[in-house]
Amino acid sequence: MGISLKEVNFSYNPKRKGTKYALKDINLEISPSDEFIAIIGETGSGKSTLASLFNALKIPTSGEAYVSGIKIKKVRKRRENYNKIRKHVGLVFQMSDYQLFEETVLKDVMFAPLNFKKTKEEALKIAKSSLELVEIDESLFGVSPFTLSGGEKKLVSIAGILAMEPDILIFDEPTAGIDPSTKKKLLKLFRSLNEIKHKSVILITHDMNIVNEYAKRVILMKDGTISFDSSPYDLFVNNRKIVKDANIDLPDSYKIIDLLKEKTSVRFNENIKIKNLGNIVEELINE
Amino acid sequence: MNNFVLGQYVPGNSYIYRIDPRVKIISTILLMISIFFLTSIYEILGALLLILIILISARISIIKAVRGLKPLLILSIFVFFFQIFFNQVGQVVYSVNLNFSLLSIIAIISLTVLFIIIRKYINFKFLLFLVYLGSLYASLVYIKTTDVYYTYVLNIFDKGLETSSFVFFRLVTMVFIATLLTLSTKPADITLGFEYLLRPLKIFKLNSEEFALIISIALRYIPTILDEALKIMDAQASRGADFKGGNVFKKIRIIVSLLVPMFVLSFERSDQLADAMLSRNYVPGKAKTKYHILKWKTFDTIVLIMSFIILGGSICLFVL
Repeated sequence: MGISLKEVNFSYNPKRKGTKYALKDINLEISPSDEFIAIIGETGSGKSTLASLFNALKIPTSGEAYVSGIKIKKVRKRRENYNKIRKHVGLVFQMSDYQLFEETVLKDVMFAPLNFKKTKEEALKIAKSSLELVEIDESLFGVSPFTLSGGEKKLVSIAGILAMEPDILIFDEPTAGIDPSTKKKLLKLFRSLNEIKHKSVILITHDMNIVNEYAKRVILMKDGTISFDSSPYDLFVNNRKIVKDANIDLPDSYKIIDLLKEKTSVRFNENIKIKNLGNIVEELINE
Repeated sequence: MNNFVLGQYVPGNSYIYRIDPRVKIISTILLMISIFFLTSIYEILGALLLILIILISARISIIKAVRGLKPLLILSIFVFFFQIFFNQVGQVVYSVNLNFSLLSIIAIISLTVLFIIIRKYINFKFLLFLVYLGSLYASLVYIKTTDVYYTYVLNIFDKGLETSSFVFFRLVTMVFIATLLTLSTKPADITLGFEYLLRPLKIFKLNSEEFALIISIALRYIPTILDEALKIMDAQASRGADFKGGNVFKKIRIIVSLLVPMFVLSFERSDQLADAMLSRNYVPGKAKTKYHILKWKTFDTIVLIMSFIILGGSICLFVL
C-alpha cells in the first residue's frame, strides 16, 4: 500500500495568521517495493519536512496522508502511538549523532527491534544481521558508538533503521560529509536493498550524479510544492528549463555530453540513458 | 522550534528602551526593595498604579506583563486563600456553612475525576481550574441533605481579606517591576549591564567580563540545545521509542536515551567553540576593546535619582 498523500498541506505554526506553509498541496503515491526515489531541491524547499511526514513525525495540517493504509492523524490517547506507521517506514537522519545513545554499537541497533516487542534473542539476531549488511566489523560491536568515526557512525545509524525491517527506507542526505569509501559502500547498500531485497529507497540528496546513476524516479521540491515528478532521464534530458529554474547542477555525465556536443561533431543517440561516465565511453566507442 | 524566543523581550522604542541597562538593573532592585517598606494595602495599590502608569506610558502591552504573572499565579492564589482561611482577626464580613455530607463528598470526587479527564482535552486549563474550585465550593455550600457528617463554618474576616489582598498585590507589583526590565531589555543588554556593574568585584579576582561571556554563551545555546533535543526525540521516536506511555522505568530509560546524545553533542560543541574562539585570538582574562559601549546620559541620571527618591519615600512611609 505504501505511502499516499492527498492534497497535504503542512505548517509549523498553523494557528498563526498568515503562516507560511512548509508543504503545499502535495499529492504523492509511493509504492512499498522496488521504488528508488531521489528527492531534490534547494535548502528550505521542504524535503526534510516531507520525509518526516512519511514517518509520522509531522502531522499534516490539512489533507490526508496514509502510510500502508493507516491515516496519519494526531493521537489523543496515551496508549496509542505511531509505531504501526514507523514500522513500515524507516528514516535515517542526517546527523547520525542524534540517533546513537546506547553504551555499545550492538545495543544501539537492538533499540528499535526491542521497541517493536521482539524478544531479546530475536533482536540480537536482527541486529547482528543488520550490522553485517552495512559491513561493520564484529570487533566494533562492543564499543561505544561515540568513539566511532563519522562514516562508521553513519553505517551504525543505518543498521539501527535496517533492524526495524521497514518496507520503505528514507535517507536524509546520507552522503553529506562522508568519506569516499564509505560513500561507495552506502551506494552499493542502497542498490542491493532496492534490487535484491525489493525495498523502496528514498534518498534526499544534493548530489545529482547519485540521482542520475541510482534513482529511478526524481521528485523536485520547490517552495514546499512538488514541481517535478518523473524519471531522472526525463528531468535532465527533456526538462532543461526546470533544471535551470531550480538552480540544480547537472550531473557530470550530462555536462560532458553537452561539452562534446558543443566542441565536437560526435552525436549521441538521444534515447539512450546516460547514467554515468562509463556509459559515455561506451557510446563513444560505439560511435 | 523556529519561533522560539529567549526571554520576554519585546522590541520597541519608547523612553524605557533608551535607559541604560545598568540603570535599569539598579532601579529594578531599588524599586523592589522599596515595595518591602510599604505596609498598607493602599500604599501597595499606589505602587501598583505607579507601575501601571510607567507600563502604559512606555507603551508596553499590559497583556504581555500580565502573562509574566502566569508562573506565579498558583502561588499567589494559594497565598490569597491561605490568608483568608487562617487570618481570623477583626470583624466577620462573610460567613457560610460548608456541609460535608455523603452526597457532597460524592459530588467532590466526581468533580475531581471530571476535572482530570477534561483537563487533557482543553486549552484553557487555568480557567477550568477556577471553574473546578468554584463548583467544589458550590457543592459544599448548596448541597443540603440531612446526613451531614460535619459542618465547617467558614468565616471571612475583614483583616484577613485585607492581608490577603495586600500579599497578593505586593506579589503582582513585584512581578510587574521585574517584567518591566525583562520586557524592555534584551538578554544581551542585561548581561552587558551586569558585566559593568560587577566590575568592582575585580578586587576579589572575579573577572566580570568572563562571567558575562559565560552567561551570554549559555543564553545563546539554549535554543540550539532545545532544537537538538527535539531532533533527538524525533530520531528516537522514528525507531519506536514511546515518549508518552510506559511505566516509570521505561520513562527513565527514555530520558537517559535523550540525555546521553545531548551531553555528548554539547561537550563536543563546547570544545569546538573553545577552539574557534582561541583561533580568533581570544585570550581568557586579557583586556579587550568593546563593540557595545554603554554611555551614561542625563536621562539615566534622572531615572536613577527618581528611583532613589521612591526608595526614600517608601522608607519615610515605613518609619513615620
